[in-house]
Amino acid sequence: MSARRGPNSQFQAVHVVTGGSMCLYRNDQDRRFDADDQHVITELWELPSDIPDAYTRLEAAERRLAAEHVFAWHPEFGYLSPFPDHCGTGLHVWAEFHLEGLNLIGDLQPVRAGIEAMRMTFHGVDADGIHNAGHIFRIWNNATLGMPERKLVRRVMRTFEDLVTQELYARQMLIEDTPRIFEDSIMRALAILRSARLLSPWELFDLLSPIRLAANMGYIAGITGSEVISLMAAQAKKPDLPPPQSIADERRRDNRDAALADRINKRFARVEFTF
Amino acid sequence: MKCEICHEADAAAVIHVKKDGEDRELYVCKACAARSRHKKKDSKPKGEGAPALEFGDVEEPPEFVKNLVEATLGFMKGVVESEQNARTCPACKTTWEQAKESGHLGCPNCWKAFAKNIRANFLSGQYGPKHVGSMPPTVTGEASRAYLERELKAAVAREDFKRAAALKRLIDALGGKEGQ
Repeated sequence: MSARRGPNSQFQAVHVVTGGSMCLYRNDQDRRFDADDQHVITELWELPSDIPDAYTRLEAAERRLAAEHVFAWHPEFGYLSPFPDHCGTGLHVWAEFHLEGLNLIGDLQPVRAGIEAMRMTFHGVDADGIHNAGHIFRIWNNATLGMPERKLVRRVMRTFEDLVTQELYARQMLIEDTPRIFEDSIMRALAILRSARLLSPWELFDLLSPIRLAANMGYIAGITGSEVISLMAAQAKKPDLPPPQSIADERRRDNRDAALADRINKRFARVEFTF
Repeated sequence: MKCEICHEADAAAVIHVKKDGEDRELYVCKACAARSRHKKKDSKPKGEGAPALEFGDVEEPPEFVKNLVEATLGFMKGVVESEQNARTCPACKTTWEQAKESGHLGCPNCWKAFAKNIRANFLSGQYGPKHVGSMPPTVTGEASRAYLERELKAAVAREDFKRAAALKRLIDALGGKEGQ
């Protein structure tokens, strides 16, 4: 399937992939396994095209580490970790994707099934990772045994590129074939953001998702895409309050939600949808 | 109805007897039915078809069969015990049951001790059954000098001079620049 890319597709691709990292877990040979006793090297990158470069830097960092530690190693299982399903190269490559376009056209489930069939994990970003808050997903390779690092990086990279293409295609389809659905989701979110009296952080996170999509596509005036992203990031960092045990707890929660709603009402009062 | 043989007890079974070339059906008591069965068994030549087994008819097995059964049971017990021993890591004493329940192995040696179980339970979702890719420098020989130097320092620190001398000889044998 070839994607119909719009004129600003490169710009959109940056926003579809919100960041990522790669990790190599290396445990010391002479120690007992402990969850906190892992030597983890992490490299961050901003764009999917940087993955091979990030791996080169990761390799160099690992070489430096190898001069100081003797890694736990088995000829059959490769680099060993405390987790029996985590061995081999230990290389995990992950990135976060904003898949609101696929969600709105209803293609999210088939895409998810396809990704999972390729032995990759498709995880909703939320406090507990179960709900798909804001349709932002973290995707990473689940399997680490039986494939060399460079090949794995190429494979993950190809999957990420395909996913970005699918999402951009979905966005294009949304405005060309189903503009009503697109408009409805944006207008609905805007209406709630302008007039809600109580807003919990995760509800706000969800409502900002279509706004972020419209902002990235250039159909929102009064707020920039990066501002929406930072608003979403701020909500994701807030600790979840425990379930209310008393009336005082509920009042505290309501006060927090009312304050957030008030702030958001003011911020979105002048935001306009320009489709 | 009274038994047709002893005429004393009540009839509780039916037996078939041949008298004057003619099959007859007799209603008999339990004791007479048992006696009749034993008579039939004794009169029948061996190998001519085994009589149907009934409760109480089982004989004691011969001695060699008993010995064979005992030996087999003992062997099976030994197999189970050795399997249970194999399910404990000799280095950290973590059992396979503990590791499986917590999803956490105790030490690098657990991978060797539980290799069979790990292969069967945890590696189905991987790309392949065996590691492919980079190897630690200590395995490839790239960092063996650094490793030996560190070992040397540790040996000197704990005043194990015999081991330190052996390590120094190995490092000298490798050659090259110091600290590499």
